Amino acid sequence: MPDNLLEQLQSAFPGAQVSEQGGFGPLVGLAAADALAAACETLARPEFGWDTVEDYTARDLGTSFELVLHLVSSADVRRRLTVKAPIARETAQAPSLVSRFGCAEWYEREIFDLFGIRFDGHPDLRRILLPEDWSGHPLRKDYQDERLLRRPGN
Amino acid sequence: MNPSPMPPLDQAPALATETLTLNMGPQHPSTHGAMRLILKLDGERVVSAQPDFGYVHRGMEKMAEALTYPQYIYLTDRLDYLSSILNEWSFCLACETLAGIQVPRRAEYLRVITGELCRLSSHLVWLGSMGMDLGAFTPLTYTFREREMILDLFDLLCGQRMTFNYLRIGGVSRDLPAGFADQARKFLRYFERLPDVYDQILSDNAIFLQRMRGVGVLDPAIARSHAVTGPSLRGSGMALDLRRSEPYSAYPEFQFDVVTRADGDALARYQVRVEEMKQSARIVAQALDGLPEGEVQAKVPRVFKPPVGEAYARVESSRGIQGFYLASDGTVKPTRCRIRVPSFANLSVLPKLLAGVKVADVVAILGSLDFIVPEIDR
Repeated sequence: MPDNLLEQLQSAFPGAQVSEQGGFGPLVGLAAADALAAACETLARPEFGWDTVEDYTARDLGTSFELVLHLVSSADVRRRLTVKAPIARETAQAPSLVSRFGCAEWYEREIFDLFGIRFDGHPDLRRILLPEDWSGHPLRKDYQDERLLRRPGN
Repeated sequence: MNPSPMPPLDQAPALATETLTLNMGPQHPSTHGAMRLILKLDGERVVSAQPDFGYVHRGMEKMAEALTYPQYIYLTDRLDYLSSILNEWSFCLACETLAGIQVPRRAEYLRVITGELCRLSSHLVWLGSMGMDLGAFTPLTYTFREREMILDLFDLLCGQRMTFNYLRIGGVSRDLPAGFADQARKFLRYFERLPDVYDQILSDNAIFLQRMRGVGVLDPAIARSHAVTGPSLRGSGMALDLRRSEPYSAYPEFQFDVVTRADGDALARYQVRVEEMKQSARIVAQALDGLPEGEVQAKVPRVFKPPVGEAYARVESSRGIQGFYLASDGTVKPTRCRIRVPSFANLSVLPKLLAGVKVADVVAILGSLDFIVPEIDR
């Protein structure tokens, strides 16, 4: 990785937190999820080259959610980059990346299914793994299911 | 009453036709597991195809929140059950990255040997069922005979035929038993000429070629947009193989070729996998010959508590890039465990591949993508 890459990324994303995560390539922490689509476009430009999704998922941080997007470069797969974007818990909304990446359609359906984050502009946002009539989103930390076995102390 | 005479054919009113919705599965031999394909058909032609899955969803990402790291290893076997070692490998790799553990060199070699044997047996199962999907039963009897020998090797190694639970954080659970290396070498000598035998019974078969050639052509740009990896991507001419392009473990020390084919059709994906079997056998032979002496397990605390942080580790599995994204809050259990599975992304390209093909090609395309349902559903 060129030495000034982090500085280049920082100047391309002034409001974001850019850091190096030992061995995984750079991490770009966006200030808001609204900037996600524009950030993907910037990162796909030839000077950066992160044009392909490898994985797209989310985390529940308790007070908010966080989208985690792993990008790779199709020219050089070693070049990895992680983009993170916070999502407010109350609204749980994010812009869809379907028009940019073909795989985003299913990944966003999965995030919606398991975290309940809604993607604006998704053509067919419905559950993908769980049954249609399931209630709740299991990967949320406050998910309760009376059928879950409770161990003492848990 | 006299029947009215038939009108001449060119004056007959046009037949009203409509599309037919056909559920293929969830129990169907060519979906290789419980998966439903909702096909909309116009006569013999597929108008649209929508996969529906989740029938074996076990909530494995949620289960990780209730289990300690070492307790989770055996569950990873149940993802892609044909290449269990490779799932364990990426999970252990993620844990080792989190905690900064160095794996002893002998353990890395044992991981390569078992991992490549797993890839070999997975490709053998695929080859047999691919032939059977197209109506050729003989290859299955051949490939399952060879696969059984690999499973015997694993039985000798860890007492299990399929869900091995062999890898540990920082190494492997036990060293090679006496006789393993000899038996493995014997198998490799026996296996040497077999990919060519399979080729003779399938690739020299005119029916097989006609059903595979030019069918399900996957454009490299679409493949990358859908995050397709593994042999399915290499069949479209892209040489993406993590073992070569981001070498992990002991892979830099071995000679092997990254197999690609440019055509992108079902036949190209078939050829890539047959050729990859030879490469896997090559790697196992080299690893057996160069196996270093030493420990097979690094020093890992009895209670594994990685520091607060995140790690994303991935390996080249039989079907593509398989990875674990782990987030640790400093306790014995991960706070988030995300499983990146190759089959999920590889299958997402299916609606595009199936639109417009004939019904008979659906099975050939499904088989050539080589997905595995428990891995998609998790």
